[in-house]
Amino acid sequence: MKGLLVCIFIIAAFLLSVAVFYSINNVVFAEDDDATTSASGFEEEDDDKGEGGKKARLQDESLGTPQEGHINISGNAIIGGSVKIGDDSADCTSAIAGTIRFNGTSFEGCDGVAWISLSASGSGGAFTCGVDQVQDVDGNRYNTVLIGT
Amino acid sequence: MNLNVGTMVVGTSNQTNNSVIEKYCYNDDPNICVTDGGLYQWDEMMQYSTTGGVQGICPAGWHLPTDTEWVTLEETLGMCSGTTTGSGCSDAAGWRGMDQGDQLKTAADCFGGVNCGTSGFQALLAGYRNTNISFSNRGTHAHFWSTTESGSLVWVRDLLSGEARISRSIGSKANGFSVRCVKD
Repeated sequence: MKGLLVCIFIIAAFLLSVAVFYSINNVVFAEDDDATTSASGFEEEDDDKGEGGKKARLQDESLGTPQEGHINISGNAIIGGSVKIGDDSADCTSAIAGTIRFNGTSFEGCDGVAWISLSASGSGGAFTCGVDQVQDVDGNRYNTVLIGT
Repeated sequence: MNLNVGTMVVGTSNQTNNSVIEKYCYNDDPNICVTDGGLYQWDEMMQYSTTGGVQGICPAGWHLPTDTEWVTLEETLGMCSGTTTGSGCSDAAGWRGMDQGDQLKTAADCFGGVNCGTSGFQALLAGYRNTNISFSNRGTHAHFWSTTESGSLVWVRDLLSGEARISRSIGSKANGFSVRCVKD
């Protein structure tokens, strides 16, 4: 019985800490703790970078250690507000398949081979296809266009 | 844009079956390949196959268009079907249709002023490499290969800056023309 109460207390403490670390709009970290690891293996780390210079890092250990400023989450993310997406200069490879970016003009997604436009329609390029961009063996990328049905 | 895969060879040389994809760049200028795509002789484009609709130099999952696929495209854009003489329908040779050429070109290259560039195809008037090894008519002519042979020649599609329609003609395999691919 005593052990059960201890477990409940630990779980309650963890849930409270998660509530503190997450605000509605931001991921918030404790001021001084370098790292805390929950029973589930979810780790929050706050690297001291001087006043105002902290870099956040949330780590789900099952996904390995993220880079500074990155967040790895193996489960779903439920966000009540909008999400702003920036650009990414990385080459599209299988390692980042599923990534989306906004290049300043349009949204693009990495299918493991090439960044393809997520815009409503493509423009120019080879004809009659179902995707918006294709890459040849030299790495040249071509916009495509769907003509007809 | 037009396909631009491969290594440039000068216009005075023929493209050869050497396991390297070779292309011409207009006036032997590689910068023009970047903007207009490469120009390919038919055998090189086909990678020395004679099978219609073969992948050739297209990316994986894509293939070179047959003459029939060009017709499908043209009819999708509103060209009448059949070979009725004088009507200029899809199966006829020569200039056919009404404004389908302007639909394929960019709005800037439109001739008739109707449905300019509406298909999104954005055909570039890239010119071509003649059989006499010179480059000609960049800015005024576009020629696209099909994989469909007609005797020793091949069915091609031609667009001109001064013409709203599309020409279906046969050309020598030794020409260097533009290439578009079709998704499998």
